[in-house]
Amino acid sequence: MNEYNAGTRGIANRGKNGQGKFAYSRLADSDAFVAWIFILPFIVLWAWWFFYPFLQSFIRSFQDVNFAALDEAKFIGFGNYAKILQDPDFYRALLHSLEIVAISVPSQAVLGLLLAILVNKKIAGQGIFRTVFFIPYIASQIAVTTVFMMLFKQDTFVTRFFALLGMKNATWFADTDYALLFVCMLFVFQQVGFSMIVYLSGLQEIPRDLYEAAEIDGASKGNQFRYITVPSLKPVIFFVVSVSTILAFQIYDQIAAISRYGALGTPAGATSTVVTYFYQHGIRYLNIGYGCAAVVLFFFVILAVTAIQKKLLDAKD
Amino acid sequence: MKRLTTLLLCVSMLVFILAACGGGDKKSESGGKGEKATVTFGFWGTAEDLKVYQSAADSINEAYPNITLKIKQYPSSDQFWNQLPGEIAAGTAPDLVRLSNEGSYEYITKDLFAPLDEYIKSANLDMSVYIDSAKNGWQVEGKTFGIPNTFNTSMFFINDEMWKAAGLGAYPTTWDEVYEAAKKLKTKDVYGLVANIHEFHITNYVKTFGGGWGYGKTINSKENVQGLEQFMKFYKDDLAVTPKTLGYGWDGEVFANKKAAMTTGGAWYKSYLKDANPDLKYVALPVPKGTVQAGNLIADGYTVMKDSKNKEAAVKAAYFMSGEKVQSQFIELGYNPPLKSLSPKYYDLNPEFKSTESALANATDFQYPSDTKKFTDALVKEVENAILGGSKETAQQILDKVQQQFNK
Amino acid sequence: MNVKLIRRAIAYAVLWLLAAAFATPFIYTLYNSFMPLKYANKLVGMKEWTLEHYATFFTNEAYNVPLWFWNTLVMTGIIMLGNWIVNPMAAYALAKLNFRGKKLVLWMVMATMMVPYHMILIPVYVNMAQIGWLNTFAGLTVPFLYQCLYIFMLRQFYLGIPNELIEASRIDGLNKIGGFWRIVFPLAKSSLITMSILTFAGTWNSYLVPSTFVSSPEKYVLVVGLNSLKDAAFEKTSLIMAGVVLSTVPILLFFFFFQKQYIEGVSTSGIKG
Repeated sequence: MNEYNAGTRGIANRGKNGQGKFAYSRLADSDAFVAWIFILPFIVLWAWWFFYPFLQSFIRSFQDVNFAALDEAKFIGFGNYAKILQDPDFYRALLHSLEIVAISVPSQAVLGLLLAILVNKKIAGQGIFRTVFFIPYIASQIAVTTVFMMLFKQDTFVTRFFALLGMKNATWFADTDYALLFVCMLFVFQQVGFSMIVYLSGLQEIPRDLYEAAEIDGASKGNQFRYITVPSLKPVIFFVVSVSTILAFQIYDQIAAISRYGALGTPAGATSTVVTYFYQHGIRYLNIGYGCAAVVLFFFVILAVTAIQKKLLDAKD
Repeated sequence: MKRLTTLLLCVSMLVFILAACGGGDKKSESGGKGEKATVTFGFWGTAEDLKVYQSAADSINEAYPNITLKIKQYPSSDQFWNQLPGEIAAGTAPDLVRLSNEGSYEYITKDLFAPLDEYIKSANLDMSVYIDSAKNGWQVEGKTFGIPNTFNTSMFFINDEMWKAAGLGAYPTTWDEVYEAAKKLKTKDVYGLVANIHEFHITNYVKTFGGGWGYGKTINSKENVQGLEQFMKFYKDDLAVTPKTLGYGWDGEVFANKKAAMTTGGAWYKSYLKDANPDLKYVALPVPKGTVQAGNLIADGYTVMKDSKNKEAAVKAAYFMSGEKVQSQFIELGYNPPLKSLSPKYYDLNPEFKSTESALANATDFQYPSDTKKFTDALVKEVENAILGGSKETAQQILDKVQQQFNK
Repeated sequence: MNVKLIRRAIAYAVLWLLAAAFATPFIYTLYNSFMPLKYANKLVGMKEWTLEHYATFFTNEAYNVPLWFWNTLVMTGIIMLGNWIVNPMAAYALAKLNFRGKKLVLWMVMATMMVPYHMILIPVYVNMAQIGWLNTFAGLTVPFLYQCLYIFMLRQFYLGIPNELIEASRIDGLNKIGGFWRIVFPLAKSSLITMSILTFAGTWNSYLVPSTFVSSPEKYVLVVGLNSLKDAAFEKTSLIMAGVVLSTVPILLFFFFFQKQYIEGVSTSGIKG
């Protein structure tokens, strides 16, 4: 892109603007100037409403602090971090977070794409199908969770069906072996509408003439999908995968919903994640510094995973 | 990526310097006692409760002309606790909140609330109007931390239709009798008992064997082990069920839906069942004995935040809300007032609870350790692990394990 | 021909089956919202249905649904407007312009998404209290005029727009700002629609933020207001469900009308040979 940048300078110089506007038009054509102007609103909002508060929480992670007395915080260096790294519950929570990502992200990415392709076709009731597939994403947590809980009880047709496949006929969310899987299914069901809608708009932006040309060349539908759809969607696929990874790492509402009347991460900690760990220690046990330290550690885990995904999936720019 | 690392490093260094210098959030104190005081009351609860408090806010001037009572609404207690750290730091926390003794000990020992004795004295409040057991829950280390509001004890509920249909006679007074009855009440669709794996219910069991948590000192006492064994025995013999297994949120739902014949609960069952299953015939009894008659004392009270700038006015407002005028509205809603003058009327209005009156005298505070939430989370987790996770741990092993975390 | 017909029939059957599964939670909610509380979470047919839960929201003086609806509308409107301006601009810079620090900004955007909002909620609250923005629309909206998620999303879409198009526009005398407004912005229309739908749904449904930054009932938004009163020991399921219906229907309508804007294959590569 650099060469095109250099090559076009001249055009602006020869622009039809009068002498007085010369400086402006020059600036308006400089990548760096335009870029920073365009990014400025974001940076200002971000610095004040994200970075500054984040920094404050980051400081807390080096403190021993009870929320009733934030003024009396004691600086303890890496004390919180050391304690967390010795806590088996933290590793268990981290493992659960990774499991949720490993299960839900691929399912969501694939199912979302399938749905998007289905509702992108000219079919009767297209609008209704699109709306219906989007419903779980916008419907309230309580409603979706309640329905799922009714379906995954012992002896319903759903659990009986899974029993045929060799699983236990049990109430999934009350079973320490299945509760995490239950959370994943709930999560995918709710999030797949999001992937669908993003893919759907990605499909709109694939130039139609590419398909027309392929058709003329006699390419099969399968080959069109493989050689046109997937490569064109690559940036969108990277977006869906990385965002759903980040969201899956941060899953909280679904877990809070199934623990509505009990301890977070029920049954017996089978659905604990790093976010519930933060919540428990930072807020329930009033130990804010400790909770923040857990999130900071977690942040680096997410960062690492995303960096790997970017290496593997992102288009070169 | 490299640049990001550099940035993060720089930021970390900066933070270290800042943190080491001990830069804190300094709050500006606005001192001085004005004549007029505004007391903010943090509230969460039902629409009916809100109405009572709004009328209290309208009428408080009759008793205290200089106090304005403002109600600050929170959607739930969780929301309140999640928000409180920010509010304390920002100085926007309420002066007064209504709390249950189920979780208050932790916050009292962690210095969130102010001791009230000095203000009670200076405001000249007569504390003898309250029933002792309603008051006692708010005494910690000889200091008063709350003005008592409504109070009650835990109860044992039986689905009377099922009881009669099974041809059972007198209602049970011991866990052994409950056990025998549960065997008879158990059918294909109905469990004998719903025993929610929740600290409230477990505490009931251990108390009836003469046990108690002793603020963390006696978690694995012999009596507690017996109590927990009794609790787990119902599960071992498949007579009890958790609400979760049936897809319900709490024990009352199981009971209302006739999936279990008996349960431990409390006065809130009445208002819930009235809506959830108006046709259900039930009886309320004292919690059955293991070796002694005992139960949880559930007491609401008004506590004053440590940082409140109007502590005396807040105490006065609390006293007003615990007084006859407001409490006579609460008694209509089914709450038992803490006042000697009103409480006797409670059983006239709620005759179904008459049989539990004697139990109220024996009810005691929860006595959870000061790390209450940590304790209840750990206890519930271990018991869940044994009952739902098949960990094979005995009651003794569970309580030993929990005790270990609370040895100071 | 017959084979094709059968295949079509099967495809529709699968589609309808899927649709039924996806619609279940909402239908269930709708059903429950009309049932007396004693039938909550039970399937007993519609013999004894009632409007009392909806009536509660409109007659009980503790609720002010029209006002809360208006508040939600204002909040959502302001946030959407902000997102329409801030996000595409930042995304364009990150996708199509060259400048020092671009990688860093991109990682800032990504990293922001990785921090659970719960973690910074308390300091944000304190900062907001200090500038007196609690209980104001400013507090509800200004911090959310940008969304890193959508900046990232738009950037990914803009990457797919061929550089040749922008270059061509420059030959026509448009500078970089003009190239953005005239070429990129309209071309990636479907990504803007997606952003609008997602922003609308997310803002309209948001609970954590408005329930934290607003404590006076006059400034409640719908979702917070409808959930503002609860029993400590249990929840009135049917009442909650009625609240869910009230707050979800606007999003459904918004979505239904907006999704029509997705018209397949609008864009061409513009480099037809």
